Amino acid sequence: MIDDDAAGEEMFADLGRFEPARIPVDAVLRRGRAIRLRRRLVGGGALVLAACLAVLAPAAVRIAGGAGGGTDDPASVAVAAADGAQGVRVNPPTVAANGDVHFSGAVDGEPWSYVRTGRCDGPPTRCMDLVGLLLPPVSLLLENTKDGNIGVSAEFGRDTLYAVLTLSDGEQVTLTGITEITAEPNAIAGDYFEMPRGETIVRVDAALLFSSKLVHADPRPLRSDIPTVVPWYQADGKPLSLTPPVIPLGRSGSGGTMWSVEVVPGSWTAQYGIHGPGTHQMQWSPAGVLVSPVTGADGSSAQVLYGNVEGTTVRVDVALSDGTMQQFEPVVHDDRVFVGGVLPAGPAVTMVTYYNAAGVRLGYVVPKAGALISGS
Amino acid sequence: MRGEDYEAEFREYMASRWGDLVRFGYGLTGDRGHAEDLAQTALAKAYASWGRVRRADDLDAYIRRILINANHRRFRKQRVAEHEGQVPVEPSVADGTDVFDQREALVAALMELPPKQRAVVVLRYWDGLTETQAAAILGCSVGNVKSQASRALAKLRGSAQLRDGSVVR
Repeated sequence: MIDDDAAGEEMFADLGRFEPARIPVDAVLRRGRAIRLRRRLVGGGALVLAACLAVLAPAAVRIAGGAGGGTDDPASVAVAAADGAQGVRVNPPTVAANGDVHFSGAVDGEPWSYVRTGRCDGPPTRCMDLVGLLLPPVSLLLENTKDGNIGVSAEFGRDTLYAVLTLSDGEQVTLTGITEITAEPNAIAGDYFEMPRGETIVRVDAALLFSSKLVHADPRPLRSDIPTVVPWYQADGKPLSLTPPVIPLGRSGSGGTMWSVEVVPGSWTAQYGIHGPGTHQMQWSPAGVLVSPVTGADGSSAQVLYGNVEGTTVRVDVALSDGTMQQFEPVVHDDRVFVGGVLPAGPAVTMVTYYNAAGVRLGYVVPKAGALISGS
Repeated sequence: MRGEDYEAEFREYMASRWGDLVRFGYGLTGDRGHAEDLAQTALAKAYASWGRVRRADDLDAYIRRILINANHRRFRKQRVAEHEGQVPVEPSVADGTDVFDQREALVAALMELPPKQRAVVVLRYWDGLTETQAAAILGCSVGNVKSQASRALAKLRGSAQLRDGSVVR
Protein backbone atom coordinates (compact mmCIF):
# COMPACT_ATOMS: atom_id res chain seq x y z
CA MET A 1 0.00 0.00 0.00
CA ILE A 2 1.30 3.40 -0.93
CA ASP A 3 1.70 5.91 1.89
CA ASP A 4 0.00 9.02 0.51
CA ASP A 5 1.61 11.38 2.96
CA ALA A 6 5.10 10.19 2.15
CA ALA A 7 4.41 10.16 -1.57
CA GLY A 8 2.99 13.67 -1.50
CA GLU A 9 5.82 15.05 0.54
CA GLU A 10 8.36 13.50 -1.79
CA MET A 11 6.60 14.79 -4.86
CA PHE A 12 6.52 18.35 -3.55
CA ALA A 13 9.94 18.36 -1.93
CA ASP A 14 12.85 20.45 -3.15
CA LEU A 15 10.83 22.80 -5.31
CA GLY A 16 13.25 25.60 -4.77
CA ARG A 17 12.65 29.05 -3.38
CA PHE A 18 9.70 31.03 -4.62
CA GLU A 19 10.78 34.65 -4.84
CA PRO A 20 7.81 37.00 -4.73
CA ALA A 21 7.85 40.32 -6.51
CA ARG A 22 7.74 43.60 -4.60
CA ILE A 23 4.89 43.52 -2.11
CA PRO A 24 2.10 45.77 -3.39
CA VAL A 25 0.91 46.95 0.01
CA ASP A 26 -0.42 50.28 -1.20
CA ALA A 27 -2.37 48.75 -4.06
CA VAL A 28 -3.98 46.31 -1.65
CA LEU A 29 -4.84 49.06 0.80
CA ARG A 30 -6.44 51.06 -1.99
CA ARG A 31 -8.53 48.10 -3.09
CA GLY A 32 -9.47 47.33 0.49
CA ARG A 33 -10.55 50.91 1.13
CA ALA A 34 -12.57 50.88 -2.08
CA ILE A 35 -14.37 47.71 -1.01
CA ARG A 36 -15.06 49.17 2.40
CA LEU A 37 -16.35 52.47 1.06
CA ARG A 38 -18.51 50.76 -1.52
CA ARG A 39 -20.05 48.58 1.17
CA ARG A 40 -20.64 51.56 3.42
CA LEU A 41 -22.19 53.75 0.74
CA VAL A 42 -24.35 51.09 -0.78
CA GLY A 43 -25.28 49.60 2.55
CA GLY A 44 -26.33 52.99 3.86
CA GLY A 45 -28.56 53.68 0.92
CA ALA A 46 -26.43 56.62 -0.02
CA LEU A 47 -26.21 55.44 -3.58
CA VAL A 48 -29.69 56.67 -4.32
CA LEU A 49 -29.13 59.97 -2.58
CA ALA A 50 -25.78 60.66 -4.19
CA ALA A 51 -25.24 64.24 -5.08
CA CYS A 52 -22.06 65.63 -6.55
CA LEU A 53 -20.10 67.75 -8.96
CA ALA A 54 -18.92 67.02 -12.45
CA VAL A 55 -17.12 68.22 -15.54
CA LEU A 56 -18.14 66.58 -18.73
CA ALA A 57 -15.33 66.66 -21.22
CA PRO A 58 -16.33 64.38 -24.07
CA ALA A 59 -13.19 64.97 -26.03
CA ALA A 60 -11.07 63.63 -23.22
CA VAL A 61 -12.73 60.24 -23.15
CA ARG A 62 -10.78 57.56 -24.90
CA ILE A 63 -12.31 54.47 -23.43
CA ALA A 64 -14.84 53.94 -26.17
CA GLY A 65 -12.45 53.76 -29.05
CA GLY A 66 -15.12 52.99 -31.61
CA ALA A 67 -18.78 52.75 -30.93
CA GLY A 68 -20.06 49.59 -29.38
CA GLY A 69 -22.48 47.02 -30.55
CA GLY A 70 -20.04 45.33 -32.80
CA THR A 71 -19.47 42.00 -31.13
CA ASP A 72 -21.39 38.86 -30.51
CA ASP A 73 -21.12 38.02 -26.89
CA PRO A 74 -22.96 34.75 -26.27
CA ALA A 75 -23.13 35.19 -22.52
CA SER A 76 -24.50 38.69 -22.78
CA VAL A 77 -27.01 37.73 -25.42
CA ALA A 78 -28.28 34.87 -23.35
CA VAL A 79 -28.71 36.97 -20.25
CA ALA A 80 -30.37 39.86 -22.02
CA ALA A 81 -32.75 37.70 -23.98
CA ALA A 82 -33.88 36.10 -20.78
CA ASP A 83 -35.02 39.28 -19.08
CA GLY A 84 -36.51 41.12 -22.03
CA ALA A 85 -37.02 44.19 -19.84
CA GLN A 86 -37.62 47.67 -21.15
CA GLY A 87 -35.16 50.42 -20.47
CA VAL A 88 -31.43 50.39 -20.04
CA ARG A 89 -29.62 47.51 -18.39
CA VAL A 90 -25.90 47.51 -17.77
CA ASN A 91 -23.84 44.57 -16.59
CA PRO A 92 -20.70 45.13 -14.56
CA PRO A 93 -17.73 45.07 -16.91
CA THR A 94 -15.43 42.09 -16.73
CA VAL A 95 -11.82 41.48 -17.64
CA ALA A 96 -11.17 38.35 -19.65
CA ALA A 97 -8.16 36.16 -19.15
CA ASN A 98 -6.48 37.70 -22.19
CA GLY A 99 -6.86 41.22 -20.78
CA ASP A 100 -9.80 42.32 -22.91
CA VAL A 101 -12.48 44.29 -21.10
CA HIS A 102 -16.03 43.17 -21.84
CA PHE A 103 -18.96 45.56 -21.55
CA SER A 104 -22.50 44.36 -22.04
CA GLY A 105 -26.10 45.22 -21.37
CA ALA A 106 -29.42 45.72 -23.11
CA VAL A 107 -31.59 48.54 -24.40
CA ASP A 108 -35.30 47.74 -24.27
CA GLY A 109 -34.45 44.07 -24.10
CA GLU A 110 -32.10 44.20 -27.09
CA PRO A 111 -28.66 43.10 -26.00
CA TRP A 112 -25.47 44.86 -26.90
CA SER A 113 -21.87 44.09 -26.12
CA TYR A 114 -18.60 45.81 -26.62
CA VAL A 115 -15.10 44.53 -26.13
CA ARG A 116 -12.26 46.89 -25.44
CA THR A 117 -9.02 45.29 -26.44
CA GLY A 118 -6.62 48.11 -25.73
CA ARG A 119 -3.60 47.13 -23.71
CA CYS A 120 -0.63 48.91 -22.29
CA ASP A 121 2.90 47.77 -22.66
CA GLY A 122 4.59 46.09 -19.76
CA PRO A 123 3.17 43.92 -17.03
CA PRO A 124 0.45 43.77 -16.03
CA THR A 125 -1.13 44.08 -19.43
CA ARG A 126 -4.72 44.56 -18.37
CA CYS A 127 -4.66 48.16 -19.32
CA MET A 128 -7.45 49.86 -21.15
CA ASP A 129 -6.07 53.33 -21.18
CA LEU A 130 -3.18 55.42 -20.08
CA VAL A 131 -4.74 58.22 -18.15
CA GLY A 132 -2.48 61.12 -17.49
CA LEU A 133 -4.72 64.09 -17.11
CA LEU A 134 -6.35 65.39 -14.02
CA LEU A 135 -9.88 64.30 -14.67
CA PRO A 136 -13.20 65.31 -13.25
CA PRO A 137 -15.03 62.54 -11.39
CA VAL A 138 -16.66 61.43 -14.62
CA SER A 139 -16.04 62.44 -18.22
CA LEU A 140 -18.47 61.33 -20.88
CA LEU A 141 -18.31 60.70 -24.59
CA LEU A 142 -21.50 60.05 -26.54
CA GLU A 143 -21.41 58.37 -29.92
CA ASN A 144 -24.04 56.84 -32.17
CA THR A 145 -23.66 53.08 -32.49
CA LYS A 146 -24.35 51.09 -35.60
CA ASP A 147 -27.26 49.30 -33.97
CA GLY A 148 -29.17 52.50 -33.37
CA ASN A 149 -28.24 53.30 -29.80
CA ILE A 150 -26.07 55.96 -28.20
CA GLY A 151 -22.87 54.54 -26.80
CA VAL A 152 -21.77 56.34 -23.66
CA SER A 153 -18.16 56.03 -22.58
CA ALA A 154 -17.50 57.16 -19.06
CA GLU A 155 -13.97 57.78 -17.93
CA PHE A 156 -13.57 57.88 -14.19
CA GLY A 157 -11.27 60.20 -12.34
CA ARG A 158 -8.72 58.66 -10.05
CA ASP A 159 -10.94 58.97 -6.99
CA THR A 160 -14.17 57.74 -8.55
CA LEU A 161 -15.56 54.52 -7.17
CA TYR A 162 -18.75 54.43 -9.20
CA ALA A 163 -21.18 56.73 -10.94
CA VAL A 164 -24.95 56.97 -11.17
CA LEU A 165 -26.22 58.58 -14.36
CA THR A 166 -29.76 59.89 -14.54
CA LEU A 167 -31.24 59.78 -18.02
CA SER A 168 -33.77 62.25 -19.41
CA ASP A 169 -36.62 59.79 -18.88
CA GLY A 170 -35.73 59.55 -15.20
CA GLU A 171 -34.11 56.15 -15.42
CA GLN A 172 -30.88 55.76 -13.47
CA VAL A 173 -27.89 53.79 -14.66
CA THR A 174 -25.23 52.73 -12.21
CA LEU A 175 -21.73 52.32 -13.59
CA THR A 176 -19.46 50.30 -11.35
CA GLY A 177 -16.60 50.69 -13.76
CA ILE A 178 -13.38 48.86 -14.16
CA THR A 179 -10.88 50.44 -11.85
CA GLU A 180 -7.71 48.45 -11.79
CA ILE A 181 -4.67 50.34 -10.64
CA THR A 182 -1.98 48.34 -12.29
CA ALA A 183 1.60 49.47 -12.57
CA GLU A 184 1.14 53.20 -12.29
CA PRO A 185 0.73 55.26 -14.34
CA ASN A 186 -1.15 52.57 -16.21
CA ALA A 187 -4.72 52.20 -15.11
CA ILE A 188 -8.12 51.12 -16.16
CA ALA A 189 -10.78 53.49 -15.03
CA GLY A 190 -14.10 53.72 -16.67
CA ASP A 191 -17.21 52.11 -18.02
CA TYR A 192 -19.38 51.93 -21.11
CA PHE A 193 -23.08 51.51 -21.73
CA GLU A 194 -25.67 52.14 -24.39
CA MET A 195 -28.97 54.02 -24.24
CA PRO A 196 -31.73 54.67 -26.77
CA ARG A 197 -31.46 57.44 -29.34
CA GLY A 198 -33.31 60.49 -28.09
CA GLU A 199 -32.22 60.01 -24.52
CA THR A 200 -29.66 62.21 -22.88
CA ILE A 201 -28.00 62.43 -19.50
CA VAL A 202 -29.35 65.03 -17.13
CA ARG A 203 -27.39 64.31 -13.99
CA VAL A 204 -24.23 62.51 -12.98
CA ASP A 205 -23.57 61.43 -9.42
CA ALA A 206 -20.25 59.97 -8.36
CA ALA A 207 -18.74 58.56 -5.19
CA LEU A 208 -15.17 59.60 -4.50
CA LEU A 209 -12.81 57.28 -2.72
CA PHE A 210 -10.15 59.31 -0.98
CA SER A 211 -12.38 62.05 0.32
CA SER A 212 -15.40 59.76 0.87
CA LYS A 213 -17.52 62.38 -0.87
CA LEU A 214 -20.59 62.16 -2.99
CA VAL A 215 -20.56 64.73 -5.78
CA HIS A 216 -22.80 65.56 -8.69
CA ALA A 217 -23.06 67.48 -11.92
CA ASP A 218 -25.96 68.66 -14.04
CA PRO A 219 -24.68 68.39 -17.58
CA ARG A 220 -27.63 69.80 -19.51
CA PRO A 221 -27.54 70.50 -22.38
CA LEU A 222 -25.31 67.56 -23.32
CA ARG A 223 -24.51 67.10 -26.98
CA SER A 224 -22.28 64.49 -28.45
CA ASP A 225 -20.57 66.87 -30.84
CA ILE A 226 -19.62 69.66 -28.44
CA PRO A 227 -17.28 69.26 -25.47
CA THR A 228 -19.21 70.51 -22.51
CA VAL A 229 -17.60 71.52 -19.27
CA VAL A 230 -19.88 71.85 -16.31
CA PRO A 231 -19.21 72.47 -12.63
CA TRP A 232 -19.32 69.71 -10.07
CA TYR A 233 -20.86 70.18 -6.66
CA GLN A 234 -20.47 68.51 -3.32
CA ALA A 235 -23.44 67.14 -1.41
CA ASP A 236 -23.73 70.40 0.55
CA GLY A 237 -23.95 72.41 -2.66
CA LYS A 238 -20.46 73.82 -2.51
CA PRO A 239 -18.42 73.69 -5.72
CA LEU A 240 -15.84 70.95 -6.02
CA SER A 241 -12.47 72.31 -6.97
CA LEU A 242 -10.79 70.50 -9.82
CA THR A 243 -7.70 72.63 -9.72
CA PRO A 244 -4.78 70.32 -9.11
CA PRO A 245 -2.53 71.16 -6.19
CA VAL A 246 1.05 72.18 -6.82
CA ILE A 247 3.27 70.55 -4.24
CA PRO A 248 6.84 71.82 -3.74
CA LEU A 249 9.29 68.94 -3.45
CA GLY A 250 12.68 70.57 -3.18
CA ARG A 251 14.91 73.47 -4.10
CA SER A 252 18.56 74.41 -4.06
CA GLY A 253 20.58 77.54 -4.72
CA SER A 254 19.65 81.13 -4.16
CA GLY A 255 18.37 84.15 -6.02
CA GLY A 256 18.82 83.90 -9.75
CA THR A 257 20.56 80.54 -9.54
CA MET A 258 17.74 78.80 -7.73
CA TRP A 259 16.58 75.37 -8.99
CA SER A 260 13.35 73.87 -7.75
CA VAL A 261 11.11 70.90 -8.44
CA GLU A 262 7.38 70.52 -7.74
CA VAL A 263 4.72 67.97 -8.52
CA VAL A 264 1.20 68.35 -9.89
CA PRO A 265 -0.58 65.07 -9.10
CA GLY A 266 -2.85 64.06 -11.95
CA SER A 267 -5.62 61.54 -11.91
CA TRP A 268 -3.24 58.65 -12.37
CA THR A 269 0.14 60.02 -13.26
CA ALA A 270 1.93 63.07 -12.01
CA GLN A 271 3.52 66.00 -13.76
CA TYR A 272 6.71 67.46 -12.37
CA GLY A 273 7.65 71.08 -12.78
CA ILE A 274 11.36 71.86 -12.91
CA HIS A 275 12.29 75.51 -12.65
CA GLY A 276 15.75 77.05 -12.97
CA PRO A 277 17.43 80.21 -14.15
CA GLY A 278 15.40 81.26 -17.17
CA THR A 279 13.96 77.80 -17.70
CA HIS A 280 10.71 76.08 -16.84
CA GLN A 281 9.80 72.59 -17.96
CA MET A 282 7.17 70.02 -17.13
CA GLN A 283 8.03 66.32 -17.11
CA TRP A 284 5.98 63.16 -16.79
CA SER A 285 7.39 60.39 -14.71
CA PRO A 286 6.51 56.73 -14.81
CA ALA A 287 6.45 54.69 -11.63
CA GLY A 288 9.77 55.12 -9.89
CA VAL A 289 12.28 57.91 -9.68
CA LEU A 290 14.15 59.75 -12.39
CA VAL A 291 17.28 61.85 -12.33
CA SER A 292 17.52 64.39 -15.14
CA PRO A 293 20.37 66.76 -15.94
CA VAL A 294 19.11 70.31 -16.46
CA THR A 295 20.72 73.45 -17.84
CA GLY A 296 19.51 76.99 -17.28
CA ALA A 297 19.42 79.89 -19.69
CA ASP A 298 22.49 81.32 -17.96
CA GLY A 299 24.49 78.15 -18.59
CA SER A 300 24.25 76.91 -15.01
CA SER A 301 23.38 73.26 -14.58
CA ALA A 302 22.18 70.78 -11.99
CA GLN A 303 20.56 67.38 -11.69
CA VAL A 304 16.95 67.06 -10.63
CA LEU A 305 15.57 63.96 -8.92
CA TYR A 306 11.82 63.39 -8.99
CA GLY A 307 9.25 60.62 -8.92
CA ASN A 308 6.98 58.59 -6.68
CA VAL A 309 7.99 55.96 -4.17
CA GLU A 310 6.41 53.19 -2.15
CA GLY A 311 3.90 54.36 0.44
CA THR A 312 5.87 53.75 3.60
CA THR A 313 8.99 55.56 2.41
CA VAL A 314 9.93 58.48 4.63
CA ARG A 315 13.53 59.05 3.53
CA VAL A 316 15.43 58.70 0.29
CA ASP A 317 19.22 58.71 0.36
CA VAL A 318 21.08 59.52 -2.84
CA ALA A 319 24.76 58.57 -3.00
CA LEU A 320 26.93 60.43 -5.49
CA SER A 321 30.14 59.38 -7.18
CA ASP A 322 32.12 62.06 -5.33
CA GLY A 323 31.41 60.23 -2.07
CA THR A 324 28.77 62.61 -0.80
CA MET A 325 25.23 61.69 0.21
CA GLN A 326 22.05 63.71 -0.07
CA GLN A 327 18.84 62.96 1.78
CA PHE A 328 15.35 63.77 0.57
CA GLU A 329 12.09 63.64 2.48
CA PRO A 330 9.08 62.44 0.49
CA VAL A 331 5.76 64.29 0.48
CA VAL A 332 2.46 62.45 0.89
CA HIS A 333 -0.59 63.42 -1.18
CA ASP A 334 -3.74 61.27 -0.96
CA ASP A 335 -2.20 57.83 -0.83
CA ARG A 336 0.72 58.67 -3.08
CA VAL A 337 4.21 59.54 -1.97
CA PHE A 338 6.36 61.86 -4.06
CA VAL A 339 10.01 62.72 -3.74
CA GLY A 340 12.02 65.41 -5.43
CA GLY A 341 15.16 67.44 -5.01
CA VAL A 342 18.07 69.14 -6.66
CA LEU A 343 21.54 67.60 -6.90
CA PRO A 344 24.73 69.28 -8.00
CA ALA A 345 25.81 68.87 -11.60
CA GLY A 346 28.80 66.64 -12.16
CA PRO A 347 28.90 63.68 -9.80
CA ALA A 348 26.82 60.75 -10.99
CA VAL A 349 24.17 59.09 -8.85
CA THR A 350 25.60 55.78 -7.70
CA MET A 351 22.82 54.54 -5.47
CA VAL A 352 19.32 55.50 -4.34
CA THR A 353 18.15 53.92 -1.09
CA TYR A 354 14.65 54.01 0.41
CA TYR A 355 13.89 53.83 4.16
CA ASN A 356 10.71 53.58 6.19
CA ALA A 357 9.95 55.34 9.48
CA ALA A 358 11.68 52.62 11.50
CA GLY A 359 14.88 53.18 9.55
CA VAL A 360 14.50 49.88 7.75
CA ARG A 361 15.87 49.89 4.23
CA LEU A 362 12.95 49.19 1.90
CA GLY A 363 15.03 48.88 -1.22
CA TYR A 364 17.78 50.40 -3.25
CA VAL A 365 18.66 50.96 -6.86
CA VAL A 366 22.07 51.17 -8.46
CA PRO A 367 21.41 53.04 -11.69
CA LYS A 368 23.25 52.55 -14.92
CA ALA A 369 24.61 55.69 -16.49
CA GLY A 370 21.79 57.77 -17.88
CA ALA A 371 19.19 55.15 -17.05
CA LEU A 372 15.90 55.39 -15.26
CA ILE A 373 16.17 54.88 -11.54
CA SER A 374 13.06 52.89 -10.98
CA GLY A 375 11.54 50.94 -8.15
CA SER A 376 11.60 51.62 -4.47
CA MET B 1 -7.23 50.39 18.26
CA ARG B 2 -6.91 53.47 16.03
CA GLY B 3 -7.16 53.41 12.26
CA GLU B 4 -3.47 53.93 11.73
CA ASP B 5 -2.71 51.09 14.12
CA TYR B 6 -5.01 48.82 12.14
CA GLU B 7 -3.22 49.81 8.97
CA ALA B 8 0.21 49.28 10.49
CA GLU B 9 -0.84 45.88 11.75
CA PHE B 10 -2.21 44.94 8.35
CA ARG B 11 0.93 46.14 6.58
CA GLU B 12 3.03 43.99 8.88
CA TYR B 13 0.78 41.01 8.35
CA MET B 14 0.81 41.42 4.59
CA ALA B 15 4.57 41.79 4.45
CA SER B 16 5.01 38.57 6.38
CA ARG B 17 2.49 36.54 4.37
CA TRP B 18 2.68 37.92 0.85
CA GLY B 19 5.20 35.39 -0.40
CA ASP B 20 3.27 32.47 1.07
CA LEU B 21 0.00 33.63 -0.46
CA VAL B 22 1.51 34.17 -3.90
CA ARG B 23 3.13 30.77 -3.69
CA PHE B 24 -0.20 29.27 -2.66
CA GLY B 25 -1.97 31.05 -5.52
CA TYR B 26 0.67 29.81 -7.92
CA GLY B 27 -0.04 26.27 -6.85
CA LEU B 28 -3.74 26.80 -7.54
CA THR B 29 -3.41 28.59 -10.86
CA GLY B 30 -0.03 27.73 -12.31
CA ASP B 31 0.32 31.35 -13.30
CA ARG B 32 2.39 33.94 -11.51
CA GLY B 33 0.22 36.87 -12.59
CA HIS B 34 -3.00 35.18 -11.53
CA ALA B 35 -1.35 34.17 -8.25
CA GLU B 36 -0.44 37.77 -7.44
CA ASP B 37 -3.93 38.95 -8.45
CA LEU B 38 -5.50 36.39 -6.14
CA ALA B 39 -3.22 37.29 -3.28
CA GLN B 40 -4.06 40.96 -3.75
CA THR B 41 -7.78 40.23 -3.92
CA ALA B 42 -7.73 38.10 -0.80
CA LEU B 43 -5.72 40.62 1.17
CA ALA B 44 -7.80 43.58 -0.03
CA LYS B 45 -10.97 41.85 1.10
CA ALA B 46 -9.37 41.05 4.39
CA TYR B 47 -8.26 44.66 4.84
CA ALA B 48 -11.75 45.93 4.04
CA SER B 49 -12.96 44.15 7.18
CA TRP B 50 -9.69 44.03 9.08
CA GLY B 51 -11.25 44.96 12.41
CA ARG B 52 -13.29 41.77 12.29
CA VAL B 53 -10.97 39.56 10.24
CA ARG B 54 -7.99 40.12 12.51
CA ARG B 55 -9.87 38.41 15.32
CA ALA B 56 -10.34 35.19 13.35
CA ASP B 57 -9.23 32.06 15.19
CA ASP B 58 -6.91 31.14 12.36
CA LEU B 59 -6.27 34.23 10.30
CA ASP B 60 -4.01 32.52 7.76
CA ALA B 61 -6.62 29.86 7.12
CA TYR B 62 -9.34 32.48 6.77
CA ILE B 63 -7.41 34.40 4.13
CA ARG B 64 -6.53 31.24 2.23
CA ARG B 65 -10.22 30.48 2.11
CA ILE B 66 -10.92 33.92 0.62
CA LEU B 67 -8.19 33.24 -1.93
CA ILE B 68 -9.62 29.86 -2.86
CA ASN B 69 -13.09 31.36 -3.32
CA ALA B 70 -11.66 34.14 -5.45
CA ASN B 71 -9.93 31.54 -7.56
CA HIS B 72 -13.17 29.67 -8.09
CA ARG B 73 -14.76 32.86 -9.38
CA ARG B 74 -11.74 33.53 -11.58
CA PHE B 75 -11.86 29.98 -12.86
CA ARG B 76 -15.49 30.34 -13.85
CA LYS B 77 -14.84 33.66 -15.59
CA GLN B 78 -11.81 32.26 -17.35
CA ARG B 79 -13.77 29.35 -18.73
CA VAL B 80 -16.33 31.73 -20.17
CA ALA B 81 -13.64 34.00 -21.55
CA GLU B 82 -11.75 31.17 -23.16
CA HIS B 83 -14.94 29.91 -24.72
CA GLU B 84 -15.75 33.35 -26.09
CA GLY B 85 -12.35 34.47 -27.19
CA GLN B 86 -10.55 31.23 -27.95
CA VAL B 87 -7.65 32.40 -25.85
CA PRO B 88 -4.60 30.31 -26.62
CA VAL B 89 -2.84 28.77 -23.68
CA GLU B 90 0.70 29.96 -23.53
CA PRO B 91 3.13 27.07 -23.26
CA SER B 92 5.46 27.26 -20.33
CA VAL B 93 9.10 27.52 -21.19
CA ALA B 94 11.70 25.78 -19.07
CA ASP B 95 14.93 27.55 -18.33
CA GLY B 96 16.99 24.43 -18.18
CA THR B 97 17.45 24.39 -14.43
CA ASP B 98 16.36 21.26 -12.62
CA VAL B 99 14.36 23.01 -9.91
CA PHE B 100 12.55 25.22 -12.38
CA ASP B 101 11.75 22.32 -14.72
CA GLN B 102 10.58 20.21 -11.81
CA ARG B 103 8.29 22.93 -10.54
CA GLU B 104 6.94 23.59 -14.01
CA ALA B 105 6.20 19.92 -14.51
CA LEU B 106 4.49 19.69 -11.16
CA VAL B 107 2.39 22.79 -11.78
CA ALA B 108 1.41 21.53 -15.21
CA ALA B 109 0.29 18.26 -13.64
CA LEU B 110 -1.59 20.12 -10.91
CA MET B 111 -3.53 22.07 -13.51
CA GLU B 112 -4.91 18.79 -14.81
CA LEU B 113 -6.60 18.11 -11.48
CA PRO B 114 -10.14 19.24 -10.69
CA PRO B 115 -10.16 22.46 -8.62
CA LYS B 116 -11.11 20.78 -5.35
CA GLN B 117 -8.44 18.10 -5.59
CA ARG B 118 -5.90 20.71 -6.63
CA ALA B 119 -6.75 22.84 -3.61
CA VAL B 120 -6.41 19.85 -1.30
CA VAL B 121 -3.03 18.87 -2.71
CA VAL B 122 -1.71 22.42 -2.66
CA LEU B 123 -2.81 22.94 0.92
CA ARG B 124 -1.48 19.59 2.12
CA TYR B 125 1.80 19.17 0.27
CA TRP B 126 2.63 22.51 -1.36
CA ASP B 127 1.70 24.53 1.73
CA GLY B 128 2.47 21.81 4.24
CA LEU B 129 -0.76 22.06 6.22
CA THR B 130 -2.27 19.22 8.20
CA GLU B 131 -5.40 17.43 7.08
CA THR B 132 -7.34 19.17 9.83
CA GLN B 133 -6.11 22.59 8.73
CA ALA B 134 -6.88 21.86 5.09
CA ALA B 135 -10.35 20.65 6.01
CA ALA B 136 -11.02 23.82 7.99
CA ILE B 137 -9.98 26.02 5.07
CA LEU B 138 -12.00 24.08 2.52
CA GLY B 139 -15.00 23.74 4.78
CA CYS B 140 -15.14 19.96 4.48
CA SER B 141 -14.39 16.93 6.62
CA VAL B 142 -10.95 15.50 7.32
CA GLY B 143 -12.09 12.29 5.64
CA ASN B 144 -12.97 14.23 2.53
CA VAL B 145 -9.53 15.80 2.49
CA LYS B 146 -7.95 12.36 2.81
CA SER B 147 -9.94 10.87 -0.02
CA GLN B 148 -9.45 13.87 -2.29
CA ALA B 149 -5.73 13.87 -1.60
CA SER B 150 -5.47 10.18 -2.28
CA ARG B 151 -7.26 10.47 -5.61
CA ALA B 152 -5.24 13.52 -6.58
CA LEU B 153 -1.93 11.85 -5.81
CA ALA B 154 -2.95 8.81 -7.80
CA LYS B 155 -3.63 11.06 -10.78
CA LEU B 156 -0.37 12.90 -10.30
CA ARG B 157 1.57 9.65 -10.19
CA GLY B 158 0.06 8.73 -13.52
CA SER B 159 0.68 12.14 -15.03
CA ALA B 160 2.85 12.18 -18.13
CA GLN B 161 3.97 15.66 -17.15
CA LEU B 162 5.53 14.40 -13.95
CA ARG B 163 7.03 11.25 -15.46
CA ASP B 164 8.72 13.36 -18.14
CA GLY B 165 9.83 15.85 -15.52
CA SER B 166 11.19 13.06 -13.34
CA VAL B 167 9.27 14.29 -10.30
CA VAL B 168 7.76 10.85 -9.78
CA ARG B 169 10.44 8.62 -8.46
